[in-house]
Amino acid sequence: MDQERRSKNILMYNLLVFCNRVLKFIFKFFLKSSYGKPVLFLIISTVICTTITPKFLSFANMEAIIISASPLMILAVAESLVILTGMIDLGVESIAASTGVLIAFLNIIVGMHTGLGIIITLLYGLLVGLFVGFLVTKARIPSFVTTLGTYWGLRGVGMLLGGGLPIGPSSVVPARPIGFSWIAGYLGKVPVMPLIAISILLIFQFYVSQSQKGVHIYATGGDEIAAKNRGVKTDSMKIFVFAMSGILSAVAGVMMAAWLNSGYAWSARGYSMQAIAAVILGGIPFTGGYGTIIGVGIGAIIITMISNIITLVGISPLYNYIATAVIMIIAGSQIKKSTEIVK
Amino acid sequence: MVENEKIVLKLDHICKNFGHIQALKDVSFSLNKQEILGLVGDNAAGKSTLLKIVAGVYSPDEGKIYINGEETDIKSPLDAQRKGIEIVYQDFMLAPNLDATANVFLGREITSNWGIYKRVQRKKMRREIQKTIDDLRIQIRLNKLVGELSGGQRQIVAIARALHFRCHVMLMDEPTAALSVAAIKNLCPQVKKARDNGASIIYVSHRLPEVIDMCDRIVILRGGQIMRIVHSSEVTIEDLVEIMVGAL
Repeated sequence: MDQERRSKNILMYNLLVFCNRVLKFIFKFFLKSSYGKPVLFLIISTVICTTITPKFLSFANMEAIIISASPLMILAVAESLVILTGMIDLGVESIAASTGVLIAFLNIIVGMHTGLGIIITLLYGLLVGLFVGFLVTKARIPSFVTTLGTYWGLRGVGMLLGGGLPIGPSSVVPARPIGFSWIAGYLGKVPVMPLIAISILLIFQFYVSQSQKGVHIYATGGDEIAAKNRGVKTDSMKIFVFAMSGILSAVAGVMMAAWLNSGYAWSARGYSMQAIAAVILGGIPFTGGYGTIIGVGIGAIIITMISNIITLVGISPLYNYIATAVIMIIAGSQIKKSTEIVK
Repeated sequence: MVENEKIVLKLDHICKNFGHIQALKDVSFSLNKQEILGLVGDNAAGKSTLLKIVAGVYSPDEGKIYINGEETDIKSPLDAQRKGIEIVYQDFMLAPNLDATANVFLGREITSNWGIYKRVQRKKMRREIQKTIDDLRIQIRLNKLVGELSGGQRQIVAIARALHFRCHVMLMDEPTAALSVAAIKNLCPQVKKARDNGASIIYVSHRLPEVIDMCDRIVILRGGQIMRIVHSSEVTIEDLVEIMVGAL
C-alpha cells in the first residue's frame, strides 16, 4: 500500500516536472525567441479566422492564401533586408509595378525571348537598388526621402512605358501570349508562385543567419558606429541590401505580371506599406538589428489572411487597410523596444 | 612592476589642431612593454585626442609615432587594429543585438569559404573566445545578447575583444565611467591580468585613486601639453590635482 502510494507520488512528481518543462519551452519559444511571436500571431489569426468561418481552413482556401501571399512575401523579404540595417525602402511596390510593365513590354511588344526579358528586368531592379544605395550612402540622402522618390518616380516610368494602359497579350495584333505565364501555373500539383517565394524566404534566412555578410547586416542595424569601428563596411552593406531589395522587387513584379497576365503601372498599389506591415508583424523593429526573415514570411501570410477573411465573410475590402493597421500596431507594440530614432 | 623596459609605443612631438584650437602641443612619451601608463588631466586637456590619434581615429598634424621601434603611420581604426592597437571605449562600442562571441569577432569572423559565400563558424569562434574569457576568470554566457549583459560584463567583453587578437597596446578610455561600484572593483584585477597576459596599457581616467592604484607611471596633461610624467608610487592624489590645475 505504501509502495503503491509512493509510486503514484513519483509519477505525479515526474508529470509535474514534465508539464513545467513544456510550459517553460512554450513560454521561451513564443515570448523570447525570434520566431515565437510571428508563429503565435499566426496561430491566433488562424483560430480567429476559423472561428469566423470554417470555410477558412479548407484546402482550396489555404492554397489561395499561399498563392496570393507569394508576391507580398518576396517584397517583404526585400523590405526586411533594408529595415534590418535600420533604413527603409518605400519604393518596392513601384519597382515591382514598373518591372511588370517592363517584362510585359519586352515579351509582348518587343517579342523578346522570355529568359532574356527576365534577365533584363532583374538587372533593372539591381540598377535601381544600386542607385538608391549610392544616393543614401554617398549623397547622404536619408533612405525615407530617396525611396519616396523611387516610389513616385518609378510608377511614372511604368506609366510612360505602358502609355498608362496595361500591356497584355491583346496589346499587339495578332495577340501574343506572355512567355512567363508558367510562373502563375503549377509544377505537377504544386503552385509555382509559393515555391519561388518560399525558396527565396529560406535562401535569405539561411544567408543572413549563417553568413559573414548577414552578421554585418545585423551589426549595421544594431549599432552602426560600433560596427564601423570594427572594420565593417557599413556603406557597402547598405548598398548591398538596397541592391537585393531591387532585385527581389523585380522578381515580385515579374510574378505579379504573370499572375495578372499583363503588366500594369498601377499594380501592387499599397504593397510597400503591406510589406512594411509584414516586417513589423514578423518581428523586425523599425530600428533594425533584430528579427528573422522567416518571421517576415509569416507576417506576409497573416496580412494576406486578413484580406482573405474579409472577402470570405463578405465585408467591404475597404476594411482591409483598417484591419492591417490595427494588427500592425498590436504587433509593433510587442517588438523589442529601442530608444533609437528611425533612419 | 615593469620588468622588461622595451618600448612598444613611442609618441614623438605630436601636435594636433582643430581649426584655431591647438588640442595637443609637442606631446612626447613612451609606453613600455607590459606597463600600465596612466593618462590624466582636466577636461579639454587633450587626453581623448591623444588616445584617438593612437587609435587611428585622427591623424597628427605634426610628430611621429613608433611601434616597437619602427616609425608608423596609423591611417584608421582598422589600421590600428592590424598593428596590434585596440581601444576599449567608455561606451564599449559593442553591438547590443549581437552576442558576446559575435561582438568579439565582429569584422574578423572565422569563416569557411564556399566560393564568394563566407559561412561564419560560430562554434569555433565560441571555443576560441571561451579560452580568453576563462583566462580573465569571469563567467559570461557567450550566447547572450550583449544588450542583456550588465555594464561590467560588457566591459569584460570589450577587454576580451582587445586581448583575444593579441593586441600589443590596449587603450582604455574612461573604462569605469559607465560601471557600478561593484563592477569597478572587479575591473582592476582584470586590467592587471590583461597586462600580465602581455598587453601594454594606456589608461585614461578621471578617478585619480584608481589611476594611482592601477598604473605604473602617470602622464599628466594640461592644455594639450605634458606637464609631468611621474611614477605612481612617488605621487599623491593632491600632487596630481595640483599639477593638473597648474599649482605645481
